[in-house]
Amino acid sequence: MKMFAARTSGIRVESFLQLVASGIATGIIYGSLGLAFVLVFQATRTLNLAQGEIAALGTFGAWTLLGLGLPYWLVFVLMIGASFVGGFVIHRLLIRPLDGKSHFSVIIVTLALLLGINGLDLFVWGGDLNQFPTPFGQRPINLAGVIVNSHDLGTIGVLAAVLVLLYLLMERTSIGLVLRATAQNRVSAELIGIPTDLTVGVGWGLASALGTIAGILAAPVAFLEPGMMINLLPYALAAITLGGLTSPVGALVGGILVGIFENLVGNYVGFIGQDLKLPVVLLLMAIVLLFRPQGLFGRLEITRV
Amino acid sequence: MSLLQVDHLDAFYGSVQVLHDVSVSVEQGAIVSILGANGAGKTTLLRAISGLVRVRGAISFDGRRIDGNKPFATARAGVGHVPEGRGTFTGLTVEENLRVAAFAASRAQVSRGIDEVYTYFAPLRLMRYRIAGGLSGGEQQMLAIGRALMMRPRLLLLDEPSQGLAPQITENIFGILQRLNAEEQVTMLLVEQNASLALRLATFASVLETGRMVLSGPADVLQHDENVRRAYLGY
Amino acid sequence: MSRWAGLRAAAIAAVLVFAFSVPFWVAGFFTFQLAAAFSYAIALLGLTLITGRAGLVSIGHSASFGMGAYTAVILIWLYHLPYGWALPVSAITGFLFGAIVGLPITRLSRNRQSMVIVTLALAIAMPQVLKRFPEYTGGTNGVNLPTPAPPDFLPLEQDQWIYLLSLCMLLLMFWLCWNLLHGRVGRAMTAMRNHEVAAATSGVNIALYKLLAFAFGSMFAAVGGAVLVLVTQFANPDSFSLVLSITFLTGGIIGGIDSAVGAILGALFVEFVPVVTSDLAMAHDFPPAIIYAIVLVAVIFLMPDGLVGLTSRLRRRKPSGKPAGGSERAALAVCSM
Repeated sequence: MKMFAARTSGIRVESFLQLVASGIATGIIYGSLGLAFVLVFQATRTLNLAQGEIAALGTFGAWTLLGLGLPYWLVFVLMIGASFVGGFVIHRLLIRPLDGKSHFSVIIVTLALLLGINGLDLFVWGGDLNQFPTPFGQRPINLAGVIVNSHDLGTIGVLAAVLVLLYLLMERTSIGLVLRATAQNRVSAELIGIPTDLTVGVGWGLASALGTIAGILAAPVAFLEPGMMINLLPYALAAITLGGLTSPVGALVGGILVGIFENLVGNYVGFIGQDLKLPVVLLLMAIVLLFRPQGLFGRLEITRV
Repeated sequence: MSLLQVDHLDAFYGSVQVLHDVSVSVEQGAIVSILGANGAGKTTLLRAISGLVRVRGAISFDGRRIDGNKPFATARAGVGHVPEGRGTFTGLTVEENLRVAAFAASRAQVSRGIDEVYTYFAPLRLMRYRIAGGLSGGEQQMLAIGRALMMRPRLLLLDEPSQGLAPQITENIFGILQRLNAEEQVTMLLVEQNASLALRLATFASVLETGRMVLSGPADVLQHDENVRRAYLGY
Repeated sequence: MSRWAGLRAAAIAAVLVFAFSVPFWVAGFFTFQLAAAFSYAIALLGLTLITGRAGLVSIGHSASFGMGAYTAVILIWLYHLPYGWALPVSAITGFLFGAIVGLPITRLSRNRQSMVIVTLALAIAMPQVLKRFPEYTGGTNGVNLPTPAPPDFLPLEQDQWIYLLSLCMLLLMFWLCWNLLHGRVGRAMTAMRNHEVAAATSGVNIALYKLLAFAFGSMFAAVGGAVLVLVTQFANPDSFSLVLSITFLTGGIIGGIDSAVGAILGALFVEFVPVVTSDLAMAHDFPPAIIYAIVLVAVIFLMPDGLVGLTSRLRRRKPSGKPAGGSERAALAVCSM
């Protein structure tokens, strides 16, 4: 993955712990994007293949605002809000009309979104690689003997905070309760007076916001360009496969595991090198699925006859 | 004026018509039971009232038309639907299942409501923090009914509450329904395969056969009707 | 009823005559594009089996396609065998590939999303694996193949021959697919897709049929891959990537996922529509991807069953007393319980 390649140029010694540390940082990004997928999946029982592109769009928007001179954290917050609205609107306009129709229609719409947003990004911002600023800098920091990139530390910190907030939202508030109930049984939720259309839209909004956060944090290392998220996509999917599509925690743990695994395998296993890294990650995923189809944390769905 | 009035209702799954010219009337405070064999359309009728199925015809609740409503709007208007198979939120705790049904109410109203549910369904109190998915069938049925009650419904739609439950537990639950009707004046529309139990509980009953209403009358009259006895009561 | 059948037969005959005549009066490039579209159509026939009939959502179809393509490459480029061998051998390798890969994949088929993810992995892995063994595949830069020459007794030019060859392969594969879909295998798969548990209890061996669907589907894709290689006389690992799989899925759904005719319509769509939207977009200085995306959304909103829905809508003029069709009956059965 480009991220790793971009970073190694500055650091000489690749210790095991270092690989693990940077694996955690990339992994938490995979996990966050994966979590965005899980949120949408729980809301609409669909894999929104365009999730990454929406995140990329949000990241580009942030870049433009930053280019206008607005302070980083203000832009951060603004783009979270904008992506939330964007995700909600996309659901309302394109997905809600397909409620009850075959899931193939939804697949096509998400694919169309992927193509369309990618084309939009290319059109508005061009295909060049762009530098994306980070408030944490990109200096090596010595943490108990392990050299970690300062941006990675910042990434872990920010995402950890965001995820804690998300957890509190889901587990401790009425809105969270409503979201969870709707995800578990949409018809029952409707029957107790929950406007599930709105609720699912909120789920999409949250997922889009989370994706944008992941994108903003990934951009300084991966370089901002329209194809950025498409590269991340398989890793995020590997993360949720490992963790289980029904488990938010699983997505994160899965992501971190994938990040670490990717780094270790890419570095230590000779013939795999950098170019077969991705297929190996995916092979790992396939193997996990064989023995535990619901992932490490997911729950097996039992069909009642 | 009845609490619920269904007039000449046709219901469709896609292009297939499942209900034909069905009319039902539920008076305030009554318990009306819909009987019929598997596939007769009983569940469809309840789903149609809740707005989950495409219909043609009129459904009025408390004088106002609700056909064409989004299901959540009908629920908010006072129709509590306990779906077939319970439909509890299996990933939430018992208490969360109850709380979510009153998500718009104040904290005080919610705890009062929960207490009342526990009064009627005592076993649930002991399991309040258990995950609903781990409950037995009977406990889930109680939870499903309790959840619907949290909405303070004027009308309770019950879809096959006895399904998959042992006779003892079913009797228990039906007893509680009886009490709810007597003490809280909860009007009920009950769909049941267990005809004898349903006719004992209900004040009024109707029989559906392949989507058509074929018989209607006071419950005790139907209980002694030749055809009903032979077809649905087994004697 | 017979009037419709007569009209339909006439229409099919007209289309066939037209198709066979194309290379003799149409400009070369269009003929080439059409031949390429035929190879996609063959692949999409496979997707009709896998996704449309057996209900397994696969975005790994490009891997099977690549498998067939590179079987052809190995036979022709490496071993210098006559190109006629490429087609049957690709079919065999494609079938075996699908059977082997399908074993673990169909075990996941209960969970639709897992299938998507694993087949995605397959699609991504394929080009990488192909590039890893350049001695067999020609590596990253791709290989050029000799043009398939028409047999001596036919007075055809090379590109005419190639076009007709791919057309005939399509017709052969179509016939094969049609028989599979309407025979016992196809019916078992339909039952399986509609209500898996019910089908299982009535004796349908679910695991076997899913595997068969995957294996046959892969076979069709491989044949398509071989045909494309013959048509383009070029193979490059990056052409057989996830993007191609997505193109296949798009074409399959847009054409009509559960229809052999839909496979052909879908292939024509993905071959020609992007070019048209691109031209349109360029003329107005607008990003082509956005126009294409809008067209996709419009088609699926207007025709949820795919382009093939247009033709079935013409056939649907029947009296309202018509008994419920198979899938409707299943829905009715499930809902009225």
